[in-house]
Amino acid sequence: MSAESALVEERFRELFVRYHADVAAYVARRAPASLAEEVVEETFVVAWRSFDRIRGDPLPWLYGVARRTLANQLRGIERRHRLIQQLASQPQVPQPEPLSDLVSPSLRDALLELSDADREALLLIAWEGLTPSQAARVVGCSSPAFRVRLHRARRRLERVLSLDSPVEPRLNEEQA
Amino acid sequence: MTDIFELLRAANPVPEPAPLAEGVSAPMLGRIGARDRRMSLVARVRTALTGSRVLAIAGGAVLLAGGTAAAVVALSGQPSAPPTGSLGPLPGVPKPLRYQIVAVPDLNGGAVGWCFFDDEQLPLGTQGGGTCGDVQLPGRPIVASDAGQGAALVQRPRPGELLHPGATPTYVSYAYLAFVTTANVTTVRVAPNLAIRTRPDAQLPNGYRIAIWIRSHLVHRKASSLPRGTPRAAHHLPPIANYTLPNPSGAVALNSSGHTIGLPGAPFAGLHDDATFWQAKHTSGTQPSLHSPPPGACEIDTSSLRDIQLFFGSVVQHVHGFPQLAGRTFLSCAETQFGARKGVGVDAAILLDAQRPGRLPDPIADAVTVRPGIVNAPGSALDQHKSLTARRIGDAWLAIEAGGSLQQRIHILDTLRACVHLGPSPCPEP
Repeated sequence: MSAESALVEERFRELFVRYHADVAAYVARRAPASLAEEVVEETFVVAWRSFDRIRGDPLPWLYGVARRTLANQLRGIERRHRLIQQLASQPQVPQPEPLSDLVSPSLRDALLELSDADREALLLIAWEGLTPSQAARVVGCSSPAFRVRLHRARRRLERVLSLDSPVEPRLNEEQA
Repeated sequence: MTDIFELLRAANPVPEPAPLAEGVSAPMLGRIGARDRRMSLVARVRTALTGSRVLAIAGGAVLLAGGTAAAVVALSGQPSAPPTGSLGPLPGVPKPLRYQIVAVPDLNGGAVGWCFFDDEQLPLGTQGGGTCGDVQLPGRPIVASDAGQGAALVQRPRPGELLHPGATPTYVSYAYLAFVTTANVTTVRVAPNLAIRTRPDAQLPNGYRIAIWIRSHLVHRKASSLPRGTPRAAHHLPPIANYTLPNPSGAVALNSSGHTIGLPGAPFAGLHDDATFWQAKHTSGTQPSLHSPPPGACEIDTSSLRDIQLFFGSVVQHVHGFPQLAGRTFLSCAETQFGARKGVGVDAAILLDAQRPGRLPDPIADAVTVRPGIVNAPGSALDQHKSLTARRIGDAWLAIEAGGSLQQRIHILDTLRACVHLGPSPCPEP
């Protein structure tokens, strides 16, 4: 191994040690624990292969890879499940449900009524603690576009949560 | 209503980073290097396949709806749908459904250009999306483009209905393409079989024109058609019809003689001035350390408004002009989002002329004077009736996007204090 490649490997190890907990938490917030390990590993495989292309803050980049990896895994599970059914009319195969660990069923249902993009916009800010600019890198859009998405997603979630007792957006009495 | 972010943070199932156990992480690190060598060939093949598929879609784009080729179109182009119109008519849908496409200045701090939003009124609520940061660049007659699709149930289901194997719920599904062009564009050719004639629209600045294609129809999905074991939540996800939309970035602009003009597509210019982000509430160490608006080239002071809650915003420290722009537009020099205790209230921004900050900015398109120095532009009637109301402050606009009544918005504009200082020293702190 050359000195240069040893240095790259050392830098990658540092990246892994520093960020694997964040990536693992990101995945665990969105998928069952049974998937987390595999997704984290796949994410860092991609990071290793693309190491020289990571620019700036690596965390949003890693979240973006984890997000796509997780989506691929879930699609793969769905495909396998369909195949099993076609082949053998197997009884129910348990599938991972998104947000399965969320403590509040009503909030979970409300989040599931949002589009994937809207839900992810809210959760990247609220759960991952990212700034809108960082979150925009995760989902691969411009910062202004993300801010619009976030703004709208918040409104939509508020709207869904208040479906049973609609609250008109209003200004405070002092302003009226 | 509690602030939505507080609600979400409280429900975070993994509130802190979750390190993998040493017995898991160390072997994983070893496997990563080993797997890389095995995977490199697979990755190259995969990339090549993906590339050719993208080309096939872009080159031979067709529009499909529900698996059947839709009947389109003469090369001369079909007329654009209006910016505000109806989805349908759709049999069995009791009330007419509408859509609306609106253009507003991009209020995000540091942003340049416009946002184009679409809202689709569906039986159980409104959906929508949009693009921001759209500006006119030299040689690019298509200023903005957007495409999207969505679906929703026609009727609110009874409890458990969607899980019943015999149920066949009905959904409204829609898809649209929208383009904003310069004044000399008469047709946008999106694909070999789809060309849309542009139309003028009062809400657009600079004499821009708009071209819209929108379709909707009903989709029926038997609950029993979903695989057994499909998660309960998936039964609530509406099926989006099988539209294959052409890639709007490949669209070309034609003039009245039918000749192609300029380069295709609407490139995202990404023009912006660096802005310092602040957020009033936070729980994580990765949030910015600023929890109130910092001093900058522009400042919005909300302290005279009582009983409001600040959310977040951005402030540009040093304003730069963008003389390379081909059409006039705005630069948002500062933005503050705040609201009353219930609901999201107000998005306030200071808008400068983007090409030459300090020059009197253009009027706000489609706005009418409601009081000397104050104008109001209606927003989308489908999106909580938010409007853009603005007051002249020197060579800038103090603009707010908010719901409520016009009188309420004027009161806010009268009460907010704003500062624009384009010289070397920033505004004094409020």
